[in-house]
Amino acid sequence: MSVPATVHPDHQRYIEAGFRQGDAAPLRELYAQHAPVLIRWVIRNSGTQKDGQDIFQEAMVVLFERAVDPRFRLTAPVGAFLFRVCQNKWLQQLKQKGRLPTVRMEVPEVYKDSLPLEPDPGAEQAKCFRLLDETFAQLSSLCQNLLTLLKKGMPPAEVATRLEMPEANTVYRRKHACIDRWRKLVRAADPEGDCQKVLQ
Amino acid sequence: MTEADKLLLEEYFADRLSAVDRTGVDRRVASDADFAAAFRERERMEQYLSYRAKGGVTSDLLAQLGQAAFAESTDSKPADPAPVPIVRRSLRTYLALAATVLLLILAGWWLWGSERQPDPQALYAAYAEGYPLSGTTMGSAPDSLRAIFEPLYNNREYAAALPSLNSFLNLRPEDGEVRLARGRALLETNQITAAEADFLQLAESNTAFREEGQWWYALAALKAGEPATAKDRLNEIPTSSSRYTKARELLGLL
Repeated sequence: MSVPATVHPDHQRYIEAGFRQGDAAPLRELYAQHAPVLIRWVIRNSGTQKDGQDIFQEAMVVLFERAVDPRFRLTAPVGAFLFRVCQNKWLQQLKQKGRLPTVRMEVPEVYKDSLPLEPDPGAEQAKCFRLLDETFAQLSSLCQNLLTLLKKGMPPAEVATRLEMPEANTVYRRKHACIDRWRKLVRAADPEGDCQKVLQ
Repeated sequence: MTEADKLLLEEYFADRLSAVDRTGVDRRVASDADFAAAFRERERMEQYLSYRAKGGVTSDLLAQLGQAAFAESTDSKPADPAPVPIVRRSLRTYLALAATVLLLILAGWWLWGSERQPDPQALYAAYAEGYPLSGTTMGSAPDSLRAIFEPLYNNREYAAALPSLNSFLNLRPEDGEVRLARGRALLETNQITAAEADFLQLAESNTAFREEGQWWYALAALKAGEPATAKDRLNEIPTSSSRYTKARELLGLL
């Protein structure tokens, strides 16, 4: 029987407060504390400063994808998580360029005690949240506001006033139209239905 | 999926179905693969909306955070002094002094009968005072955006501040202070037409930023090298405006 992994103390600060509640301070902290270490690691392994920045940013996006999934719990220190993602992504890039033998597999001292991480079964599903995020951003600002305000629990009559709509019924009609538009955008961005398959 | 099914799912996720109807949906999810796929897709949308409603960070915001973090590290040169935020009174005093000296030179030039008109760009530089932002972050997505653009804007890194200013105004188009700041950032990056649109919107509003909108709308014409238009706009600033005295002073120089 597998024992569920315990939630790491970093979860509250970086996943809950940072990503899920939109507090920029912990996220800036991640850039300040971990980006220099991980960029140096990429440079030591045949990369440039720019490669390091790109890889770190990709790792932050992976963390964001996980954070959108309400079931995700960080079970390792956030720095170790970022290192593992950076390491995998950079090795993948080098492999594509045929430069793998030049890589030194040293783990930065600061992450040594907290590795290895357990495999993350939610990784594929998490990508679908990025798809939702990207397609949501393509909706009109009216749709974005309407869906978010309703989800926040604002009464439809109040939403109607706020968004200058004649009545609450209009809010419902617009909501259905917005969801429909969003669904179409998702399907256009995922024509093979990979996310659908992942969700099955 | 039929329209009826779509509506059924909407009602389900809005929690407006009876217990019996909810059970019916759950049963269909277990037995109908297409319906189950649509259900899970809609469920993910709800989860994403919950995340947004709590003020969750978006990938767009994350990209801006990254840009800001890496721009800081790339731009920081050891020999440079630490950036001084324009909110500091001492710097504002220096700016005011510099502006006064420049105005005196321009006024002297004009009084002693130079044939040439003062350079509109120089007048713009003399009158375009810093406009600091000093909000507080509250934990929602727009406030996180504010945490990004505010230090950049106050350090006059206008181009870097613009993406997050734009994102903020998409979410809070009614925020006059931020619209004014975006107008300034656009003006300083020579996107004059776009800047004028922001200033004009404020100038025609009934908000506390109306007077600033009128003033900056006139300065935008100066920046564009159109003194005649600037004069027209300055002439429209009413006597009640806190910018009236400055406007008359500038009109005198034009």
